[in-house]
Amino acid sequence: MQARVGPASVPDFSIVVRAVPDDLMRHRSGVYGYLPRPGTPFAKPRWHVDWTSRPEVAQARDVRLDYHRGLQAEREVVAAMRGQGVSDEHIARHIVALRNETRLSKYSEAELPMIYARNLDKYGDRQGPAYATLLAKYGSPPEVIRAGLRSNPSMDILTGIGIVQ
Amino acid sequence: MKNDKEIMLSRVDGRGFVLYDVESGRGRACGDADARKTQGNMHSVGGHTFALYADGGQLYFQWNRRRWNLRDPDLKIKYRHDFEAKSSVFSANDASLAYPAWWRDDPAFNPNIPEYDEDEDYLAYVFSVKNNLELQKALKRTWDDSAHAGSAA
Repeated sequence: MQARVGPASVPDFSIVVRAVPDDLMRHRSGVYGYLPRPGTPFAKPRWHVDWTSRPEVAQARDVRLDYHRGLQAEREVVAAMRGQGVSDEHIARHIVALRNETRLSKYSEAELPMIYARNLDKYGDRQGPAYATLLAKYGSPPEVIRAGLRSNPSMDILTGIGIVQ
Repeated sequence: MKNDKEIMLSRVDGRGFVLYDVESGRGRACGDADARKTQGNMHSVGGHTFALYADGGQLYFQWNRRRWNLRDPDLKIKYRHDFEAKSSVFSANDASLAYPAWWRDDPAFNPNIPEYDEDEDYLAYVFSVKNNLELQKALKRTWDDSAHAGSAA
């Protein structure tokens, strides 16, 4: 069964998930009522978070909330640009640049030269995955935009951001 | 010059296009090309060549010479990280590959944002496409149109 994630609905970025992803199961010991199925990528012992531990899940939730704040800002930019009649290609290019800026903001000044060099070698662009790279992967500007706004429903449910309805 | 077994694919490292031979699973650079005629993409990981493309109205994933229809219910694709070894592990049915994780030397890496795997690691992207039927449909539509544009040219 594939999860479908609905739009952000409340200020703290809880989102509606319409189906439980295949890699999760309901479980009362999960902090938010779910655990990864054994053998799936987010499950112990491979994954670093114990989903039954409130402090560990709280830390993971903070990271996810920060990620979702960035997504929310990007969604607002997309909506505003669409309202102004901007083309999908221009919106996609803008979202790609915004996503790269957001990621680069997580590095210290001392770390940035190494990341720039890595990006240049890997993508031919020191900022990160370039629009051409993402167009090659997603085929069209609308899909590049969708890819930039995606969120992992399993991780969202495990951290209490995704609410199954 | 393109032969019958070759299709045009984009490289995801921003270095242009290749003519990809679906029988050998190898690509050769084709210089400047028309991006509108690409039927998919390809990338090399650890000496292996991987490709995702539309052909004959179907979406295929190819690993060197082996290829699978992405809608084949028997195709099981898995992707995970080994945090101790700082490696990633990708498998398609009985074939498996472990390779250095993209985040190995990344000081800001946080595994709680798995969405970045798809940005940074081609095989995570393949895993994601396999699990996203809507994206599969969109890619098939776009790349099929490209194939027809290419054959009409």
